[in-house]
Amino acid sequence: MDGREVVITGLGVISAAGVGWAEVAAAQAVAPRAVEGFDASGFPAWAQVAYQVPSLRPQPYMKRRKDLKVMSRDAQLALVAAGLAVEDAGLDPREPGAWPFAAEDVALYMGVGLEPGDVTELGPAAAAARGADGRIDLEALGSVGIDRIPPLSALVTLPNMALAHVSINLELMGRGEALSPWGTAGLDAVAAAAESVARGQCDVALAGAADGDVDLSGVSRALRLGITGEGGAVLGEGGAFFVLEARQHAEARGQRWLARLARHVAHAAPTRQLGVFDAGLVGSVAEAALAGLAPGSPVAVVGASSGHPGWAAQERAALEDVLERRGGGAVEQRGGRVGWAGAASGLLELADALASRRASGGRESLVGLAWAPTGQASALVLDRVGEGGR
Amino acid sequence: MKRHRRVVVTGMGAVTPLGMDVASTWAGAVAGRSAVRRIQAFDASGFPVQIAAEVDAREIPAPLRVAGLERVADRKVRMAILAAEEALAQAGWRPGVEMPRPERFGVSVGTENGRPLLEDVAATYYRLQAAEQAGLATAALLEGAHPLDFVKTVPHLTATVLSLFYGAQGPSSTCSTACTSSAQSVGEAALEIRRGGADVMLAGGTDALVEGFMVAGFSLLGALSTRNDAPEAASRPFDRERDGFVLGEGAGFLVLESLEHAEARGAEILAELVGYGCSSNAYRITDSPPDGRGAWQSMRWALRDAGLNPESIDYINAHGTSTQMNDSSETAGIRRALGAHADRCMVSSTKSMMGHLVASCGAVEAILCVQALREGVVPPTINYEHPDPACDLDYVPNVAREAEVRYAMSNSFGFGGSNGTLILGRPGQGR
Repeated sequence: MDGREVVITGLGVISAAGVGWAEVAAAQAVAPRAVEGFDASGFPAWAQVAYQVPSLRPQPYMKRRKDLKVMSRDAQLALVAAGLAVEDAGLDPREPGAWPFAAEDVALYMGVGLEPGDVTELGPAAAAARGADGRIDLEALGSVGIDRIPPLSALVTLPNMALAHVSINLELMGRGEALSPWGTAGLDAVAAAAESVARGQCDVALAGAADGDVDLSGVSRALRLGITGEGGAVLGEGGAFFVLEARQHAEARGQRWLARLARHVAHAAPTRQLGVFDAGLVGSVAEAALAGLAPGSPVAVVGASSGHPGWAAQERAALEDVLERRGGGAVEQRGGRVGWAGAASGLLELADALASRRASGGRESLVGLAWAPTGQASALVLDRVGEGGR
Repeated sequence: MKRHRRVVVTGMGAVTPLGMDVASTWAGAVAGRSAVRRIQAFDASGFPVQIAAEVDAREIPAPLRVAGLERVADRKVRMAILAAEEALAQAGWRPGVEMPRPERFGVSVGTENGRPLLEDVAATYYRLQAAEQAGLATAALLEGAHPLDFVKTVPHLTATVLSLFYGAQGPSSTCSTACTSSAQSVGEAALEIRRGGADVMLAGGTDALVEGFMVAGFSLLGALSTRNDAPEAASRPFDRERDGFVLGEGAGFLVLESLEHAEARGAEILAELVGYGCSSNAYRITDSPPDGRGAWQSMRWALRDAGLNPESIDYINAHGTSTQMNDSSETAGIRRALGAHADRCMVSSTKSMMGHLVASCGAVEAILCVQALREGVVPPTINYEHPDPACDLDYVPNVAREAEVRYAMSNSFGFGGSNGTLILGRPGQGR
């Protein structure tokens, strides 16, 4: 990245492995559990489990707790992860005026997932407006069923609502963007935020992603696309956020940093075969990302296969090939700890790896990968891991 | 600070309620023609809101350049394709014959989720009910659905289709910030070119929300005009009697290039994209702050990015939705951003004619700004009859105005408090 050095001064992560980086790092083994929140008994046995967050409590970070009823699961996950990151950066998001900088100078970039609306939410209205032919009667929906649609349901389906809830509750008035390129959204949002800091558009940015798609629609969608299924990935959910700062800014306020953001690479391989994992594409972004690191320097490449056994095998082969040409490095596949978490997928695995390094004192560079079923892949390089203090 | 690569516009395409291309859209806007009608897409006779600004074609005649995508190419994807085709043609690119280098060519789209039709959601719900009675429960969700039906809900689908059609292998991005989506997608594309990540970007947005659920949903929010008996008078931004926005649909795309790239190939430069800013209100989910602070912040960032002072702005294509709250808040924001110059700057809302295109409004309105720069004409705000003390700028009421426009600003503000501002200038102006 051209311009100022950008470092991570705060890490917030929430996943099935735990709440907060320390808890996540301490979780040795993470296994999917029986799906909660809806009746999954009608699905095949392998779709009845998921990597869900067992205890999701955004209330400590909320200004008005009654807003909880208009917050999607994504928004709740995002708020917790973002709040944790801010705390980790030495700030208290629950205090008014928590930011020791002007609120309009703190940017917020977020990768967001799908919010297509749940069939069960619209069900009562549909039931009230069923016509004699067994299909919905839209005239009846307008006159009778409309009162059974939750008043804020249209808003809740807008993908940027998670961004809105985080900006409101953490009082962020700077640049704000919600990126939705699906599986690469998290890494791309962090990269966009880092560019903004590097180019002096802001000194501090909060960047990350959250996705909570373990519901009837999400399970059905993943099954249909072949992401989950017999021998496939298991659905997951979670959120991961970084506080990014210009290195000079962080050091001036005496804040330790965890790693430096060195490089972002994004490739698209337009394809008609939507939903087919492209190990070659993932390998090519990894190779481009690694090209920016000193030859032979220690590095771990964090994969993007989301715990899907078939994808993981292809990905490992492709990455080992790339690393062999480079002259060394390790492949880490952490999808088995978080599952397929949509927009948060790659970033959640990278955050999991960074939390682990922080706990263990590991200092090798990390290359985080992300892939989307629509045919694009991204890589984010973190170097100087552990050099910035604690 | 290091001077970045300059970004220029070399092609534009639009599909709007006013017309199926830029020329007809511009002609309609300059003529002050309203495209608001009673809803044609479905039987809205029982709905509290029965009007919208729809694209005047039930089937969008978009060329599908790759076989097998008919199923995923829904209305908003097809509108995007049609607008993209026009933009690329104007820029002198010919798909399959002459296109930018694939790895230096990217796509940036502003759009929302694709939503399954209400009819399909209801059918699924009825199946679920029947299955539950038969003890089959949720398995019913999997019946009758095609795998690609789910892909249609992915916001990034439009970018994927456009990348595939035109062989773009560079950056592929989607912004989903409600009504700010395509202003941000265009702004982000410009940043991508500036920092050297691409030479050419196809950037814009698309949205098609005139369907049962969204009309019902926005009605329940009290955001839509209920002037069912006078559709053409329903969208009246900045007028004291305004009572909500009119839902529209459409797509707009621009071809952005680095100045050097455009000059090297001898392309006609339509305008320069000189500034981009964005911000968050951090206020409320549904409301705008009365002091217009987020809008001000967005305009301030864009001016700073462009290296311009407020006096350089001759025209603002306002977000101007026709809701009580937005229009007064935006006015306050403009006053704060432009200072005394706000009284001299022309401000109009083309939503008065084509309704609110939601995720695509930013790109379409940026195109209208380029037209204003090129033609020396500012489109009006129609239905402006009753001055509002809270909205006290020059809104170019009812009739287009001939005027020299050096720099034009386009504002877009979204539900949830996302704001985006673009500044476009005539080519070759010094700053």
